[in-house]
Parts: sequence; structure tokens; C-alpha cells
Amino acid sequence: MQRAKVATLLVSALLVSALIAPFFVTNNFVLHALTMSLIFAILAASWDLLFGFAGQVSFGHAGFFGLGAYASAMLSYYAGLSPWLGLLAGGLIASVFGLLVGFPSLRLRGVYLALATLACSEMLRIVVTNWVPVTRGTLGFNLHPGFTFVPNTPTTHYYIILVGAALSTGSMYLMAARSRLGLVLRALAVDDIRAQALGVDVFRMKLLAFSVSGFFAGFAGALYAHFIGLVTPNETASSLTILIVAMATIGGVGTIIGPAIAAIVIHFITEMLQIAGTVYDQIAVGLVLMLFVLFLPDGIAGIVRAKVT
Amino acid sequence: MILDILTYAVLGIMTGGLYALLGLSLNLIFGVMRVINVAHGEMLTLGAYTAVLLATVGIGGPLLSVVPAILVVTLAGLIIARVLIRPLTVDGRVHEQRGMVMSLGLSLFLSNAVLAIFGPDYQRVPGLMVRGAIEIGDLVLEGQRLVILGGSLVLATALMLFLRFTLLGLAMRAVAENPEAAQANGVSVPRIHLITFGLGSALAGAAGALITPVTYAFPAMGFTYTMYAFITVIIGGLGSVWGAVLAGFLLGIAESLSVIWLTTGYNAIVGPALMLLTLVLRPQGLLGQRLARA
Repeated sequence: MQRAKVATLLVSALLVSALIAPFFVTNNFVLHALTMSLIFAILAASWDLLFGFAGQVSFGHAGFFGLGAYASAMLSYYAGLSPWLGLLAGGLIASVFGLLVGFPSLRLRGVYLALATLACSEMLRIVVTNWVPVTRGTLGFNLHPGFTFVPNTPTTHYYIILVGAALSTGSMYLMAARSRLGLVLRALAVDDIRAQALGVDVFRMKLLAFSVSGFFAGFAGALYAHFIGLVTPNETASSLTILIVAMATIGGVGTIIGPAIAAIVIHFITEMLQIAGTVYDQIAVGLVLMLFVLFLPDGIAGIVRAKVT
Repeated sequence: MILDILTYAVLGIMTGGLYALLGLSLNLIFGVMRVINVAHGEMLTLGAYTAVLLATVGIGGPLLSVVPAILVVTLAGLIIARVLIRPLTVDGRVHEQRGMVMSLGLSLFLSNAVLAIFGPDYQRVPGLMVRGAIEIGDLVLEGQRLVILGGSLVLATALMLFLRFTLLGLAMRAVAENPEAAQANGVSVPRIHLITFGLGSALAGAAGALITPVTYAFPAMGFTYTMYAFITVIIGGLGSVWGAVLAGFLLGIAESLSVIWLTTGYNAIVGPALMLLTLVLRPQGLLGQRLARA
């Protein structure tokens, strides 16, 4: 009970400060960094939904993110689709890809599944880079002006993505930690053979987890595409997946909120380090990740849990 | 056309030797320690940059730099195994997920540390290991690439003889088979883990020093090679030494031949596609044991 209270308090404090942040942050670069951090929050939470709850390791999240970004960008570039609908479309197309990627989970577990998802994501990257007539290769897509019906200022972008991030992580949290579906998913992670014996349609549930996780990662990609206004094959690079895994691990897997908050903090700090003009930001993330695996394998959420109970 | 196929097949065999060496060393680490080492490619990067560093200082030729590269990477491997991996080991088994995430962090750290120290430029060891080429009819075999192939084969054979005929090799195979039983028979599992990781890393480092006179070294090169190492290991079978060798050559040839039929750039898809196909159709790989589902 008390744990829930602390968590609610923490999250509401965070939401309030996120809402009023633009009134205090006048520097556009800082606001940009905050906005990007929120996109990473969705990504880390979506990875955690799959790993922390359903127990399925994905090394392919860069693929979901990149596909969402590309799908949304191409729909507005070629078909003139509204960016607002593009957000949904990006998510939906990535969730279909999630189904495909999740298909091998019928037979594969752990490491093997992780490598299968990595293969899917890498194949997507190679196609996106080389299918020049359709994807414009390394040129990518230039999307201007970002969103329709609203003034395209850093502040509106911030609020749009804040709403997107809050809705995504909120619904993922409710789904994973507060619903029967979440219980079923956790049963999968613990012992899927027993879950099967208890009447859970294991394969369908795994596919569901993959497609929901893919949806939110793709949605984050679509938000990114219209916010940054440029989509290139870089967005599908697997180094992004490593960052997502790092953020989720440091935040504490199996909590959704932990990874989301860790993503915001880590991305914001690394962006600020870039002002100093260094490449040391990624070194720091790698180092912090290793330290967490060594000394705090349950992440920040693990410390909070230990303190409260 | 026939000559094309032959030329590309031979080129493939030469790259295949490199893939085999990488796969073999990654498989050694996985087979004995059950660690999925995502930072394996970074060990190759370290080897490559050691060679580049020595060459820029002017010490040693391309061939001589292989030895110091092996030493440096072995040392790095021993430190990693002792400081980062041993704390994750309980009862002779490394925690699977933590081991994997640890190596992710290590990979991020090492590749960016190399970037910070050496800068983003492409670098290479100047000069040739050996001059000239062997010509068989219209078929040209570059001496350089033959050295890489020969070096890979020598190292792979040495590793296999070591595993098969020495007491230490026997102990390593015992730990791979069953850490508890090995421990009960007086094998120090932590020590075997240490040696295994050092040896596996050393082989990757040797690969790095071998290829830098032919290809360029750059900070992010590790990930590509990690990917190839995994592809080789999955196709050959996780834990199977011969499988890795076989798969390495198959992958090299398949990728090289694909150049004839696929547009440039797309040939990179051959590896991941073959890996995915193997995972779906035959998860245990060509020569692996049936433990993929466990």
C-alpha cells in the first residue's frame, strides 16, 4: 500500500514539473533535449513491457522505432497523410512488424530469441539503407513543417510529445502492472509451460506482447519523425537498442515507470554533456550500465522498493 | 560466369576463415561460460587499434604487430572476466541476462572509448604483410588475404588441438559439460572461466590485427563483427567448435557469391537472413546439440 502511495506521489510530482517545465526552461536546446528524453521514455517503457513483464528479450527495438519513423514519414511524404494520423499509422505498422518478429518466439527463448529479433532489425536497416527508389537511401526524408493545425514551436512540440509519452507509458503501466493481462504476461515470464498448463494461450500472449511493445516503440518513432523532421537509416541502427536496454536496466525492469524515468534522466544528462562537446556521454552510459549490473542489478526501482518496504 | 563464381567463392573462403575464427572464439566463451558476449567484436577492435598504434609509432611490421595485439587483448579479456563477469557468477554459472546486459554496456563503453582516444577516422596499418599474389590461370589469389586465411586456420587448429589434447583443454570441456561435476573433480571453475575468456578474447584480438592491413579500423567496427560472429555461431550451432568453422566458411562463400546476384549493399542481408532462417528452421544449428529450446 505504502509503496503504491510513494509511487503515485513521485509520478504526480514528475507530471506537474513536466507540465510547468517550459515556463522555466527558456533555452530551446534544453527544451529540445527534454522532448527527446520523453521519446526515449516511451522506448524504454515499451522494451520493459516485453522483457520485464512477458520475459521476452528483444534486441530489435531499433527496428520498431525506425519502422514507425519511416512508415509515418513515407505516408506523409508520398501520400500526404496528416502527421496526426501518421503517429497512429507508424505505431500500427510497427506492431504488425512486432507480430512478425515475435513469431519465432513460438520456438525460441532467451538468447536465441534475442538474436532472431536482432536479425530482423538488422535486415530492416539494410533494406532501408539500400532500397533507394522507395526509402531514398541515406538521404532519408525531410518532413516540414512537423505537425499540422498547431504552431510548430519548440513548446508545442514539447507538449505534444509530453502528452504522447504520458499516455503511452500510462497505458503500458496500467496494462502490465494493473490488469489481468499483466498477470498473464508475468506468468509467461516465470514459467510458460506451467502457464500453458493453466490454460493460457502462451503463443498468442507472446505475440500480443510483441505487437503492443512494437506499437509503442513505433509510435515513439513516428513522434520522433515529425518532431525532428528528418528520418534517415541512422534511426534503425542497433546502437539505439543498446541504449534502450541500458536505460531500462538502470531504471529497473518490470516496473515500466522506472525505465521511463531512467530514460528521461539519462538522455537529458547525455544531451547536456554534449554541450561540453564531448563524446564521453556514451562512455558514461556504458560505464553506468556496467556498474548497475554489478552492484544494483534491480536498478533504481530496486533501491526505491527496498527503501519503502 | 564460371570464373566469376570461382573468383567470388575463393574470396568467400578467405573471408570465411576470419568468420570462422570469430565464431570459434565466441563459441568457446559461450560453450564454457554460457555468456552471450556482445562485446566480442570490441575485442577485435582493440586488437586492430593495437596494431594501428604500433604501426604509427613505427614499431614492427604488419605481421609482427599480431603478437603484441594478442597480448594486449588477452590482458583486457582477463581483466574483464575477473572484474566484470566473475561477480555475476553463482555456483559456476554466469547469470544469463546480467552477463548479456553487462557485455552490452561493455560494448558501448569500449567502442566509444576508442572513438574518444583515436577519433572517428578510418585508419589502417600501412604496408603489406606479404607482397604479390598467386595466379592460377585467370584466378588471382592475393597474398595478403592468403595470410589472413592461413593465420585464421592455424589459430583455429591450434585451439582445437589444445581443447582435445591438453589437460587444461579437457578441464575447459568439463566445465562446459557440467560445472558442478567439474568442480567436484577438482577443477577450479572460476580459473577456467578466466582462462576461457582470455583465450577467446585473444583470438578475436588476433583477428583484428590480422585484418587491419587489408580493411580499415574504425571505432564502430566491433558491432559488425559481433554480428558476424553471432551469425556464424548460430548457423554452426551454439557450443559446437566444428560447426563454427563450417558455418564461417559457408557464410563467407554465400555472402561473397551473393554479390553476383544481388545489388551492391544488399549482400549484407545474407548473413542476418541465414541466421534468422537457421533459428526458425533448425535452432540448434548445423552441428549443435538439441538445447536451443532450453
